[in-house]
Amino acid sequence: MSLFMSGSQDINKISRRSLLNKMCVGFGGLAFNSLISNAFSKADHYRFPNVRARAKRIIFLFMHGGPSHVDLFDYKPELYSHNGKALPFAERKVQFADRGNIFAPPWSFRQVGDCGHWMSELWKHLPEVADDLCILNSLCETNVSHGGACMKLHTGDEALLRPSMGSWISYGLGSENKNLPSFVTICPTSLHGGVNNFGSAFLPARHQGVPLGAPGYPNTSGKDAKFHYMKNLSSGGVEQRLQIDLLRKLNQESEIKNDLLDARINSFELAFRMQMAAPEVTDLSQESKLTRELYGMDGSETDNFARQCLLARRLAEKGVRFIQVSHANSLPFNNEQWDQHSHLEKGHSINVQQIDKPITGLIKDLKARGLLEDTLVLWGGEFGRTPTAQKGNNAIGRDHHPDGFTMWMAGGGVRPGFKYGSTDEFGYHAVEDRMTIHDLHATILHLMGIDHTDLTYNHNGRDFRLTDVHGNIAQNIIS
Amino acid sequence: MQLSLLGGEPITDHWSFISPESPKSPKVSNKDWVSNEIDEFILSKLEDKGLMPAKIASPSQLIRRIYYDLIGLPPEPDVVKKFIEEYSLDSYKKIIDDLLNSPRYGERWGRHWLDVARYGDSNGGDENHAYPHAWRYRNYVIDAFNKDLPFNEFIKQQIAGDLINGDPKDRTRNLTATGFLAIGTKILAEKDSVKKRADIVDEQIDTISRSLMGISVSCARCHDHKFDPIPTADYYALAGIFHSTLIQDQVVDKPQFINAIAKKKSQIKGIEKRIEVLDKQFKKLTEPELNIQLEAEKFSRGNVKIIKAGNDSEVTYISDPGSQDNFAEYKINILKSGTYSLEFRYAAKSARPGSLIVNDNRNKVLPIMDQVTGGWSAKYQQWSQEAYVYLEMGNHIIRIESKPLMSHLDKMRISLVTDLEESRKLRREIKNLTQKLDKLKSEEENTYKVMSVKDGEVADSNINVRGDPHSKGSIVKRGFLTKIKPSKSLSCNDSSSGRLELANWITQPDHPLTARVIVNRIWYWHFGKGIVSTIDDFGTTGTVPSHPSLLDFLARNFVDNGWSIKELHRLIMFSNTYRMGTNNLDPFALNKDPDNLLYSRRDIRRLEAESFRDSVLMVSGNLNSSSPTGPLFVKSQDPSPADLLKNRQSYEGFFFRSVYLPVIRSHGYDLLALLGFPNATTTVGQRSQTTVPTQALMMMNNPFIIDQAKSLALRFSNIRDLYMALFARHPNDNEAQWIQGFLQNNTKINGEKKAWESLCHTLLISNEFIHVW
Repeated sequence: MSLFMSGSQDINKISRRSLLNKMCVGFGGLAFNSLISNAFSKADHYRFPNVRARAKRIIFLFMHGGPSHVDLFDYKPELYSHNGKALPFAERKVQFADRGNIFAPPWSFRQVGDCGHWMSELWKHLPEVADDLCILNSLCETNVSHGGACMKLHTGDEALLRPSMGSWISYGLGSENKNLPSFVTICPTSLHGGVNNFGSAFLPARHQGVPLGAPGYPNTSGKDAKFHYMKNLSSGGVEQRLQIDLLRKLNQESEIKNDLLDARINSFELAFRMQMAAPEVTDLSQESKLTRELYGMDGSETDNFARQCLLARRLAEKGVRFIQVSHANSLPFNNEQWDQHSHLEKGHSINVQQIDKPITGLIKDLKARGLLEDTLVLWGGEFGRTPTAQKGNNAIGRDHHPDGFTMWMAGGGVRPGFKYGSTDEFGYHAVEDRMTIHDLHATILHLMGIDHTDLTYNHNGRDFRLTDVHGNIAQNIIS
Repeated sequence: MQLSLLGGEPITDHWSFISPESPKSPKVSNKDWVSNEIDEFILSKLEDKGLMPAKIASPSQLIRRIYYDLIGLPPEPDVVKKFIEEYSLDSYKKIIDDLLNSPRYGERWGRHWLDVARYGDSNGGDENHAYPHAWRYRNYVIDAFNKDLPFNEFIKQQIAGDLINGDPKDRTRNLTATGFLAIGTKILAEKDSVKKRADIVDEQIDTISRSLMGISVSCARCHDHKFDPIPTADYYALAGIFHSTLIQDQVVDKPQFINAIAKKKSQIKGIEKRIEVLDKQFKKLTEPELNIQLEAEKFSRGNVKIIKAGNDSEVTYISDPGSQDNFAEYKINILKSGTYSLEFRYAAKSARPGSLIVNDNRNKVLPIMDQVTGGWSAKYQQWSQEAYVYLEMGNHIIRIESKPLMSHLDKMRISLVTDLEESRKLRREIKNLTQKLDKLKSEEENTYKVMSVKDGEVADSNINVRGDPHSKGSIVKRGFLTKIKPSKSLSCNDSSSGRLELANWITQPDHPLTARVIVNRIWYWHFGKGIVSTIDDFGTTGTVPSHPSLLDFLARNFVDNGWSIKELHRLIMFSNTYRMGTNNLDPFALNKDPDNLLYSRRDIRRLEAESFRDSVLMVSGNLNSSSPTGPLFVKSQDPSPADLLKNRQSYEGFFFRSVYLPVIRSHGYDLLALLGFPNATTTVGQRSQTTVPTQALMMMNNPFIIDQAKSLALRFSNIRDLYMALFARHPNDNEAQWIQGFLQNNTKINGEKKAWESLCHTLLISNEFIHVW
C-alpha cells in the first residue's frame, strides 16, 4: 500500500503541506493535481529516481510501419542461401497476409566499427557511430497489426487505454525546466492509437505528451512543428501582461479564497513564460551552419527528419524528460512509412536515406555536447518484417513480423558496441534473450532510475504499472 | 462474513452487495435549519463534530448555481434581477421547476449520461471509422432526460430495447436506445476474429457493470476477481448473453422515416431517369456499331485480382490484391480513326484515382476513376464518362494503372464520338447529376438507420482459459452475477439472448447496487463529489460512503418515487445542504473538515468544458439554441493535417450547444479536450480536472475565444451590465477601480475599442466566469 501513488496519496508527499491545510475545497486529489502543475521544479515531491539513474532523459526515434530487421541490422546468411525456398518450419497462427517463400535481402551486410556490429550496406552514415550503439536483436511477442503493436510499444497494452511510456516517466520524474512541459512528441502520427500513444490516460493530464506539430497522417512536416496557441494574433505581450495582472487582482479581490483558484492564475504565468521560452527552443535558425549540415538539414531527402532530430536535441538540452521523434510519413507507392508489403527495395532505400544522416548527426552532436552519457536514445518501430516475401505482390515486399525484430539504444548508460539477444538462423523467432515490450519498458525505466514495479498509480481500485504484471530488466545491456 | 439466506454459501458482507434498508432519521438539535431529510443526515454528522453549516448562499450565487447545475448555461441578466428582487423560497423552487421543464435540461443532464455511456461518433482505437448513426442514440438520451423517463425503464431500453414487447410505435425509440451497447470502442483491424468478438463482448460487459452497477467485472475475464466476489464463471455467464447478441446498424420503420424514404426514392428515380435520357443522347453522338465494351476481368496482361461480388450479383470486377502497383492491359482493334469517349463502370467508397495509358505513351497519362460512388459493394457500381482520346485505325493497347489501391472496376466502354462539343456538354451535365445522385443515395442509407443490437444465434459461452479466446474451457449457462442477489432470482431461456432478463435483474427495486450507483452519480453531478467518492467503483476496492445512511435513504426514496431523476433533483436542490454558501465563517470548519467531507460548506466548482464553451457563446450572443440532427461532419479516419484544419473550422463554425458536437475519439475538439472532456473510451463517472499551462495558453490565445470576446464587447457597453451578464452581480468599488485602471493602460496602447475587447476577453477567462460558487 505504501507504494501507491494515487492522486490522494500524492498529497502526503508534497513538502508544502501547510498549503493543503489551508485548502477549503473538497476536490482532494484533483485539487492537488492542479496545485503541483505549477510546481514544475523537480525534486520536491517526486520520489524517483529510486535506483541509480543512468539517464536523465530519453529521445525515442519512432519508425512507424515496421522496419525490416533482416534488411537493416540482423544479418542472416541463411536467407541468401535459401532464397526462394519455403521456411523449414510452420508459421504463426495469426498472420496478416498470405506468406510466400524466403526472400533474401536485396542488400549485402558488412561489419562496422571496432565492435563489429552487422549493418546492411543501406547505412552509409550510421557506421560512423556504430561503437556507440547497443543493438537489441530479440524484441518479440507484440501484436501483428499496426494499431495493436503501436499501442503496445507506446503504452504497454495493445487495446486498452493506458498511460504512455512518456507520461509514466513524466509522472515519475517530473520536469527539469519550469518553462516547458516534461514530455514532448515531435510530429506524431494520428494513426494506430494516435494521441493515445502519447496520452496520459488515467494519470494526471499534465503528464500527457505535448505535441509539437498537430498529430496527422501523413505526419506534420518538421518545418511546421510548433506548439499550439503560442501566439496571440490580436495582442502583444504588454497587453497580455495587463490581462494576467487584472486576472490576479480580480482573483484576489474575490470574497472566495481558494488555492485552486490561485493555482489557475499561476498557470497563466507559466503559459506566459512558455510563450517566451518555447518559440526560442523551436527556432532552428539559431543553430550554426555546421550543425545544420551535420544533421542534413539542407539536403532535400534528409531535411524533414533532420529538423525533427535537431528539435529533439534542443528540447533535451532544455531539460525535457521524454522526447519522441516520429518517422511517420507515407510513401507514394506504399502506405505507412516503413510498411513495405511491396517495394521493399525502393521503400527501405528511401527510408534509410531520410534518417541515416540525421540520426548519425544527432548522436555525434549529443556526444560532442556531453549530453549522450545521460541521454538515452532509442530507435525502433512497432514490429519487424517477415524474412519471407508477401504473396501476391509483384514488387516484392515483406509482411508484419511481431516475434523477432530489432531496436537499438545509445547513450544513457547502455553498453556501447554491444549486441543483445538473437533470432533463429532465419531471423524469424527471437531465440536468445527474448525481450518483450514489457521487458523493454522495464529496462528503459531502470536506466532512468525507476524500479518499474514501484512506478504505480491507483485507478479504479487497482494499482497500474507501465509493465502491467510483467517486465524483466535486460541487465546485460547496462554498462 | 455472512451467510446468504438462499444458498447458504458464504458471500462477502461488503456493504454495497447488501440491499439498502430504509434508514432511521438521525437526531439533530438545530431543527430549524432542516428543510428535508437530506439535511438531517448531513446536519447530524456536522453536529457530532461540533460544526455549524455555512450560511445559505446569496441569491446572486444561488441563481447562477442552479442555472449551471440544471441547464449548464448562465442566467440572463433580466432573470437575475427579477430573482434577486423577488427572492423567496417559493421563487427559488419555481425557477428550479422551470429549468427542469426546459429543453436545455436534457442537453445538460443527457450529456452527463453520455460520459457514463462512453458516447462516441467513431470507433476509436486503431482505424477510427465514423459511426454515422450514433447521434440518434445521443438525441435519444437527451430526450429521455427531458421526459424524465423512469431510470429503470431507461436501463431496460438501453440493454434490451429491441426485445421489449411494447407499443409498436415505440419500436424506433427502443431500438435506438440499444445504441448504448453498440457505440463502444472497437479494434476493427484485429485480424483474429475470435479475439475481436471476445474484445467487443468484454467492452460491453465492462460498460454495463461499471456504468450501472459500479463494479468492475472485466478482471474475471482471465481469473477469478481478486477483490470482489466475481468468479470467472460469472463473467462467461454474462459473455454468453453478449455473444448471443449482434451489433448492427438497423433500419427503423418510423412513419416519418418511411415518408422520407419515399421522397428520397422518388427524387433518386427522377434523377436516374434524367440520366438515362441524357445517356441515350450521349450514345446518339457516337457510332454504336463501332462501340467496344470490355469486361474488366478479361485483361490480356495484369496483376490485379478478379473478384466475383456476392452470390446474388452478376458483377465480376477487378481490384488490387493489397497495396501495390496495379495494372491491367486490354488489346483493342479500332476500325475507324477519331476521338473516342471512354466510360468506366466502377464502385469506390473512397477515391482511388488511377490513370490510363495508350500504347505505352507515358507522355500522355490520363487521370481516370477518381470518383467516389458511395460504397464498395456491387450496388454502387456506376458508369462514368472519364476521358476522350484520339485513336488511329488499328490495334491498340489500353493500360489502366492504379496504385497503391484500385477502385472496383467492372466494365469499360470505348465509343467513337461524332460531335465532341455536344458530347462534352452532356458529359458535364451527367456528371453533375451523378454527384447529386450519390449524395441522395448516401442520405437514403443514413436517414433511417440506428446503431443498435439484435439477438443472434443464442448459445452459452465457454470459459476462455486465462482469457485466451482460443483456449476453451467448460461451458457456463448464461446468467448474471451469482454473488449479488436481489430478491427475485431470474434466469435466461433458450429462445433469446437473455438481455431482457439481465435488464430486469439489474433494475429490481432491491438490487443492492443499481439505485445506489445512480443516486450517487446524480449527487456527484450536483456537488462535485460523491457520497461514495469512487463514482464507478462500489466494490471492495472502492471507498466507503461518507454518509451511508444518506446514500441508502436516497436510493430507497428514488425507487419509491418511480425512479424519477427530476424528483431526485428537487429533493437535493430544495435541501439547505445544497443551498449553503462556499464560505464557512466558523473558523473550526476549515480545521475540522479541511476536505469538506462533512459538507460544512459548498465546494467551488469548475465549469465543465461544454458549459464553458456554451456560456462563452451565449454571453457573446452567438449561441444557437435549437437542436441539430444528422450525422457528424468531421473526418475521423486517417485525417491529414488538412483534414484536421477542416475539422477545426467545422467545430469553430458550429454554434449549437456542445452536446451536439461530434465526439471523435482521439481527435476531439481540442478546446473541449483541454478542459477535461473525456476521450470516450470507457465509462467516465468523474471527469479529470487539471490546471495546465496548455489550457491557459488556449484561453489566452485561441482565436475562437478572442472572436467571441469581440462579440461580447459589442453587446455591452458598461462594466455593470457586463458583470451582470457574466457573473450575475455588479462589480464592487475595488473591482470597478482595477478595471478602470486596466482600461486606461490598455487604451494608451490600443485605443478604446480594443481595450474594451481585451477586458471582455479577460473576464471570459477569469476565475469567476469559469467557476461556480
